[in-house]
Amino acid sequence: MPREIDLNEPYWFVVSELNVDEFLERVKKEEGRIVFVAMSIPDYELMAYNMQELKRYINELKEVVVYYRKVTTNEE
Amino acid sequence: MSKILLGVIAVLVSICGFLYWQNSSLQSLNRAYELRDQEQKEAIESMQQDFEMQTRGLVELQSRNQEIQLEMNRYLDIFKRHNLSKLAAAKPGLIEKRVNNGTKEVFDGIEADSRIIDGLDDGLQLQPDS
Repeated sequence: MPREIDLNEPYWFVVSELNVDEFLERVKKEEGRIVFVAMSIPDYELMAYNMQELKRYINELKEVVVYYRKVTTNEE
Repeated sequence: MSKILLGVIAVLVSICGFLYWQNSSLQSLNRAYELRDQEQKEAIESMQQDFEMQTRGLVELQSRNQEIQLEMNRYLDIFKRHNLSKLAAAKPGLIEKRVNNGTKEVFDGIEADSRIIDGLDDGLQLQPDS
């Protein structure tokens, strides 16, 4: 079986009118200039859906492997 | 007279010899059939056991797949029940924490699943083709 997955978590900034100035200052301080990748809330939801879909696929694949292990090794 | 008797005895001995040979060959044929019958019974029993095990495994597989789908639906239902745009606009700090915690939870879950998959072949040896 392939080596286990090792994921690094990105940090999400949630920015609205209430904290946009604070966010821009923070980015300027950390990056030296104002540059960032932005994502709208619907697109974030879409990405969350995609992650869940990947998780579902990995899980179902795992169950298939478990099934074949059971039927080929007489494990209960 | 004695010649006739000898002739009769010779014929009887020949018949007995033929019957003995035929009996021996039928006995060995019978043993071969019994052996084949036993092997076929064992093969059928083994196939039935395999079939039962595969059926049980498939039922479990379908049940687990349904659970996985339900888990996914439960997670995605959060987005349906809440207006994330509205919440993020009103409380960006709070949503930021939840979004990052959620990402960590999903990533940890995927890592844990892959760890299980990685360990599934531990202690197993591939069988040679028969």
